[in-house]
Amino acid sequence: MTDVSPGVAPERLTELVRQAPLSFVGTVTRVGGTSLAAFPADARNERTAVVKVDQVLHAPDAFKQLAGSEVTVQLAADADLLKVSDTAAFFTQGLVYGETLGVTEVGRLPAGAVQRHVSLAATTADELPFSSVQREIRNQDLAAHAAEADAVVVGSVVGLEDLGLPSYSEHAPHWWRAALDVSHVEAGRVEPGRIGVLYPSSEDVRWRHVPKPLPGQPGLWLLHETSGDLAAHAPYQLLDADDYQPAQKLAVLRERR
Amino acid sequence: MPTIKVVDITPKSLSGDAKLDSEPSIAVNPENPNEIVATAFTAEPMGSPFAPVYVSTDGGDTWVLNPVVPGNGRLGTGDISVGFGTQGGQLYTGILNGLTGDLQILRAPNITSATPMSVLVDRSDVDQPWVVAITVSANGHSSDRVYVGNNDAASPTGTATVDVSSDAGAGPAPAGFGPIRLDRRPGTLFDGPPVRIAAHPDGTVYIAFQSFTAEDPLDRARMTFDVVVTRDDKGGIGPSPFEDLLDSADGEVGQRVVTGRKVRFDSKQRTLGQERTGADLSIGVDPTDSNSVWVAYCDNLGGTAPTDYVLHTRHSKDRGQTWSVARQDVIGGKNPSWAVNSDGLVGLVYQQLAHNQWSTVLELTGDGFATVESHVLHQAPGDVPSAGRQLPYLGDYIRMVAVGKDFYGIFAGNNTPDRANFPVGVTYQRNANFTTHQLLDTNGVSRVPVSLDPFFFHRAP
Repeated sequence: MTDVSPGVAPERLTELVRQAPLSFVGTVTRVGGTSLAAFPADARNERTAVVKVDQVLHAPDAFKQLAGSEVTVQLAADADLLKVSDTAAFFTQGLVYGETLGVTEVGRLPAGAVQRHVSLAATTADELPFSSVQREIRNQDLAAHAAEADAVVVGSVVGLEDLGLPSYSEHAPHWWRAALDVSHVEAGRVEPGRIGVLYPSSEDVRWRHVPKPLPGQPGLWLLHETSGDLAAHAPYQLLDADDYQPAQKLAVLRERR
Repeated sequence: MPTIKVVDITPKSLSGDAKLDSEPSIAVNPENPNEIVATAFTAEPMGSPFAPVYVSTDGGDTWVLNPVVPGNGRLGTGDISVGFGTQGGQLYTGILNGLTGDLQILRAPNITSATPMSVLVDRSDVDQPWVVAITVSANGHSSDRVYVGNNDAASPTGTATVDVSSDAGAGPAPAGFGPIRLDRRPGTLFDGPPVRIAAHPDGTVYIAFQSFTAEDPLDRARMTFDVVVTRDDKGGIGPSPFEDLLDSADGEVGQRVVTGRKVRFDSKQRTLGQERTGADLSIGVDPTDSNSVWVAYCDNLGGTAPTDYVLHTRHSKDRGQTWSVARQDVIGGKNPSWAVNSDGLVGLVYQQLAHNQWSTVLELTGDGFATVESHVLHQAPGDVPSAGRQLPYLGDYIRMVAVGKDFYGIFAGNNTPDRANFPVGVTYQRNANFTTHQLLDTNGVSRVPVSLDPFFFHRAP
């Protein structure tokens, strides 16, 4: 449990948002019980609180409209107990998804500590008060992912080719080779010019998230060295959803180097 | 009069869900049919390390998500199949781990535990696990025999495999599991993804698979295959498992039900509306007569056009040795699933695309399809919602099981709240307005786009 006082440092707030997929400002309406039938029986005690969601701070898409709903919160073991009418900003992880939502608390802030974000969100295009924090986390993750890549280049797709390898499984990757005309090398042992990059063309559930290069597509490419039999077809491959980025993201990487 | 219940199992707290929750499976606890587990391509909504299963403890009326499956990927787990022992309430699960893609065989002591399932087996390069469990009692001791059909690419030729444990409920990993190669016939290039199992309480176990024998040299996705059924009369746990049924023509292990079938097997091509095809198979055995076994498969033969995808059915009355046509072919049919209840009533559920409408149809017959009780459980436009980049669309399978006289099943379909889409009725847990045909978010106001949900169904006598 992380208990952070008002005036929380941005780094600590980022850490909380990273730990908790859902945060909200809420008001306790009941302590020690729940109407959520599936909530674990052994978790129903003085550390169980029903909380009315006043304002969602950040959330997965399916929970962005939780305001006005009641959720059951399993309070963190080392957190202060709450009483009816208490208000706070709760940082939570999912526990039970039924008639209502059951969550586990991983952090808590005084409601006033997030008021600045709530007010700012009302004056920006941000969807939720912590949207900017989430953007920062995504940029941190992208920089970390780029640091693990074998090469980071800017280039355009100038050719696509089916390798024609046998595929006997519904989950086969169906490897294709993209020819990239590299105009800038940000990292890695690549020379500007044309290189081959493999990618799984399959839209099967196992591969659909991996970028599928399009003819003429420009961008920033995070490349991973091929190995085994695939190495004979191209030196690099795409494997991750984040392996393609708009070229403007190069600035994000440089800022975090 | 029998009653039929259809339920959209997406919980109310997930009313904002707009994903394609497809390829469902189901298990019902035979000792307590109120306990039901369902699965689909459903990610843990907040990204926990564990993928969820859907759990009902009231016979399917209400459902919750229980995140207990290792490997929560972007769509939750990969392929997943579940089964209960007939006694004891232990749940067995076969998955392709959502992060690693590995086959894992899992065990949970019950369905309501929040404890992650135990991993009994972990193996790479395997596809489409399919779980069947049955409890046997001898000398006062009960044990769960568990069969996990799978397609194991490690085999150099025939890849159809079943992992079997004679006592899967006891002991640490691997709990007695070991793989058995099913396709012993020379000439097999590889076997198709579905390896389907039907277990009878008398110890008879049938397994069906697709044996691909040739590919068109000009069009490699156009394959030739046989449907093969193997059988073991002693639970598949003896020294020479699944060798009790020899082909009447070539004498090899496994009777070929049909031979030389043609099908387009291309996992990246949408050949039936937005869906891919090429690997549909089901087998069921009559619990009142282990001699009586039913098979369904699909190919590109028998339609009005060479590209038609056609569902065929066969029945054997002599333990799989000879086969006859069971019912009329279904053009545009796929995802067949057989189940036979304790009265010998035969159930077949399938999905069909016709005139750009997906229908899910449940048929029941007690006289070999001379007369049929037929129900359209669901029907909706074939192009809504868009599959986007996701394959499969509705899924490579659905499933139905029989417990006593009852049939329980699950399918994926368009979740538009329109009663015209559900001729036998439907219940939603998620917020929906059936007057405006609009899904609504958790606040009951904001609109949510149409997607695919898993739908539970139950036919009670």
